Amino acid sequence: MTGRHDGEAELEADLLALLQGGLEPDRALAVADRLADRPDRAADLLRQARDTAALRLALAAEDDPPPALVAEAHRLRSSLRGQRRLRRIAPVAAAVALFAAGWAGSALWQVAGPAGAPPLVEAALDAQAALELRHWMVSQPETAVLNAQEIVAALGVDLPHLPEDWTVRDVQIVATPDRPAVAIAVDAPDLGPLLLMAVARSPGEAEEPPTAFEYEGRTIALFERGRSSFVLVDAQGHPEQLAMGADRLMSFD
Amino acid sequence: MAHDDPDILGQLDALRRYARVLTRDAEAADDLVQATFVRARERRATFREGADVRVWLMAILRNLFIDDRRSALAARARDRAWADTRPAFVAPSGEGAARLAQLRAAFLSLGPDQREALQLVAVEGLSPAEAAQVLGIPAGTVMSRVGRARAALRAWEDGNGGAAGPRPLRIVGGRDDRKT
Repeated sequence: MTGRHDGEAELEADLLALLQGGLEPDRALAVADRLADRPDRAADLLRQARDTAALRLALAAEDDPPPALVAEAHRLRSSLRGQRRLRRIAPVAAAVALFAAGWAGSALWQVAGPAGAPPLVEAALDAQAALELRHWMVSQPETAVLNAQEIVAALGVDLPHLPEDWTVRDVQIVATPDRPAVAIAVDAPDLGPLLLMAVARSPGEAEEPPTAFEYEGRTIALFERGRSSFVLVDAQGHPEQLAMGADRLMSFD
Repeated sequence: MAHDDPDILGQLDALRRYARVLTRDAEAADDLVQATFVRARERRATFREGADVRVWLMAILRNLFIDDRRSALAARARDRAWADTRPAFVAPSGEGAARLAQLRAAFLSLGPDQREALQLVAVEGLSPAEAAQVLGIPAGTVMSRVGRARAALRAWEDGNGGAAGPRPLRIVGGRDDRKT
């Protein structure tokens, strides 16, 4: 009986507004009239209003919010603001980026997915799931230190210089079907949380054109550079947006 | 434009209050709100333009709490908090302080379903439809839970004389062994 519930809720809200002097005079008169005709209901509503006020007092927080909480609230507000801007400009920016990339002839992105996801993509999704799990596990501290030299020496991959505004959350060595890879969880201000996985390519293997596509509810960018293959995974967003992020990585020396 | 930004800071009190009732622990509640903001930032693409940011955040907070509740660590923290070793709420003072403390105890003793529905609708002022969105249940169910919760508190007050007397706290639902 949603209609009845809505009517009751509306009457209660009206009564609270009436008590707080928040109703227009004509509305206040109408509400007061209704309640005057039903003194038993008015008494009920007043008791509810009393309970509500008492509960608000009884559940009051003991202290001001800690500064870290306030700072996080500010960060969220900024992120939502950025998200809204991105929604406005993304289609245009993606078209410009794709046109520019095509014109330069260096990285024309294919935005259709491969017939079957390469094993590397599956490995990246497994890595992302593992890193996500670690993120919530107290006993598995994250490693936000990206020691590129050590990783290059151990894995034989060329790590891109991450854009300065990207924040590394976790770095882990993970398994792929052929060889170990490095999986890096990052926060990109314009794209959100991403996973970048880098693995050494087999010698003599032909370089595939970069592709960006949606796969199993994620957005994937797959690209190669020199002796390394990269997979960039985004939990949401469009392939064109992710391709722009990958372009920033591909422009490293 | 800044004046169009969702008011996140303005939701802090309501989110902390909701988290404190869920966790019964002030520190854990603030951690939960912090995690909510982080998760919301990660999932900002799911926030629809023009939607109510408070409803969105409360739904995230509740889902995080449910996920977290599965861990033994969280369960131990909650049990500890249940023993009231760390007060999650300010100690009422002045006239009626004892009654407020008892009302809070009665509220916290409600079943979780009724308690959450009552908090969202009565204390936080969400509409039945908004509370339904947070709780993932039909609006009619929300209102019937609110009705039962109110009736339980009402019965407690009737049993308690509505004042800070020496009478024992009576929890409605047949669990009051001391009633005569």
